[in-house]
Amino acid sequence: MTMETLRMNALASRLTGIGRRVAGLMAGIVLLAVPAAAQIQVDIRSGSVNPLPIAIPAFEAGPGGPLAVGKNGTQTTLAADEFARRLAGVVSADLARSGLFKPLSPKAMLDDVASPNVRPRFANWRAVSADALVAGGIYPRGDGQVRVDFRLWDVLAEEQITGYRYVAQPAEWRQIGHKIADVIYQRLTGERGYFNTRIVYIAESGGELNVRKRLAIMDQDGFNHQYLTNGDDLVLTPRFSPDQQEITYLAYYNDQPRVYLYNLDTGRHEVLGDFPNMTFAPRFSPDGNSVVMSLARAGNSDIYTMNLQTRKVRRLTRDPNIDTSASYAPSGDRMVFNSDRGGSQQLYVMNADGSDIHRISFDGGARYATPVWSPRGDLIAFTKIASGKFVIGVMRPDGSGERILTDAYQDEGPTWSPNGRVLMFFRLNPNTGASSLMSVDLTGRNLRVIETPVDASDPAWSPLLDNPNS
Amino acid sequence: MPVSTKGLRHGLTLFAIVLVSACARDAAQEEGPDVTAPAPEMTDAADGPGAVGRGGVDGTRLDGADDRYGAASYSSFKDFVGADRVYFDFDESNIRVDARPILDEMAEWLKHHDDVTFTIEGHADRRGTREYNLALGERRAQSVEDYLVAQGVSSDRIDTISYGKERLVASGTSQRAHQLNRRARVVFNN
Repeated sequence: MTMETLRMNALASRLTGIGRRVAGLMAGIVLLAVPAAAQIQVDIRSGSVNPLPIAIPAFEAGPGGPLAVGKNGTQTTLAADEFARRLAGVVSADLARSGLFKPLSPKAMLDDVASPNVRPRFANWRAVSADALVAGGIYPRGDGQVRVDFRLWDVLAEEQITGYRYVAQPAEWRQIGHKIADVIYQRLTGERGYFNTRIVYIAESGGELNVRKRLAIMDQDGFNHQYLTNGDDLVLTPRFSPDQQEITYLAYYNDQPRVYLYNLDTGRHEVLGDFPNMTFAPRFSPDGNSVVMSLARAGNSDIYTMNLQTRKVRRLTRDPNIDTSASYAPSGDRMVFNSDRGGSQQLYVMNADGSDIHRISFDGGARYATPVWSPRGDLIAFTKIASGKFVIGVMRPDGSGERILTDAYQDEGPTWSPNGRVLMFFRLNPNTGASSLMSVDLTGRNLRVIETPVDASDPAWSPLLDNPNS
Repeated sequence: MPVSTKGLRHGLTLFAIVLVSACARDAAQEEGPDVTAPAPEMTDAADGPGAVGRGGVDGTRLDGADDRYGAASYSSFKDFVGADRVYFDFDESNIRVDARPILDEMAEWLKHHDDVTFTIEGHADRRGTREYNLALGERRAQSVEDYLVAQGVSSDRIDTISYGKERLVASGTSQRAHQLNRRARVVFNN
């Protein structure tokens, strides 16, 4: 696999200046100056043995401050220059984790800061072998908000690739950094970024034989971590709604395993439906209007959907074997699930109304589980159990082109990044019984541990919180 | 115990036998009922000597003839049966041969104490994915319920719950640990 930094000639820039209110966080986003032709491109499909060298020096700090960065009423402040340094660090860490970029060490740089308001001294950046340069600045405003400008430069061509201005509450500084990283990722790879996202997962403590599980949520880089349940009741398998305002999950409140909805705005938990027995394995439909789940009845598990407006329940499978872990295609017209109707646990695809069920995995020596349809629609990720190992892989929706991406004693439960390029999953340490979150990209080369405060399982990746540059 | 020496060939079966044998009782009770025999009517137990109906007050059972059943308590149940759980093969929910005598004893005690309501917990080892194991645990619990009902225990008294691989009792990667985790356990509701 080779790194391909393609130098494209005069790739027409399609950027347009846009100011837009986003989710109440960003007061405005303004494209900076006139873009020139972008000439650097990272090929995301081949994987990067040699990631793109990019310089992200500390952002320039304007006069003013300190900036109030505390959330939820806390009074934390940061001096402007510290704010500027940390913001650059968020951008740098995001891009480094993607495996496609290699941010240069600040110690290696000849210039400590690159102002977005001054044309860079390109010779100094070429001298340290940077192909791209991010020049940013933060400017405290009288109204308590902060303005953040950045420009992405092609160092060799000495041209601006893109540039944006954000105005936001300083407390949202990490989100600003993620949005900047998403813009850079998108401009240089041609794919949408996935940094301005969150992860909902199950936090585990107490050890293997006395485990307490809590619903938890955090930014994709592990920051802004919060627990959503107290650990008194077993909770499992959370999933985001498409608008990210709700999470559906399994909980054992009152020792009754049922599917619940949790509203992130109100903090309200609500049981979904009134079923006589266990409901489990919930996932939202792509339009957010319904939830597909399994219902166990007389020992047998079949797949049902519930319309969230009408609460009407529809049964999709009728089979005396286990049907579970259904996942919608992004188009909403099909779903994939696992079933042992063929004798062992395999993957099946059907129409969203339950018709036309057909098997897509055919390795009879293996079992397949936890299928997840990619948000791009092109692949299905799964857990494959074979030769005493649980590994993460992908195949096309017709079952062809299987590729295995991990190799460990027990990897389980993949979830897609919103751009369909990275999978997060959890890995069991067989010696300790502890699980941790990991991510791997589709090349299988960029395997990383996702740091969490305690042991972790069942990750689910959010959609993009908002489009970074539109 | 109606334990076949054939079972000794199998290490996992051997382990289950040890658990059961540790609580062996007098020889008369070790003759378990024929599992293929028709299930007795519920009224047999309810009308039997010393039986106390659902309206009975709390306290120790006073019947002399059936002292061997003990009080309507979980500890008496476990003493009588010699176990509170049965084990399953990997990715299977059928009742194993070595589990039948245990379930037969459970059914006998439960028919005698017919005011006891209980829950069958189905569990799986960790060598399965989470949601599939929830379904598998449910299937195991249902297998036990079906067996007990076939022996004459009323299904009205029985709840089932699956914990999948969420309530392990043995850690590690050994086959023995996995076997201990693949279980269905009877717990009383009160």
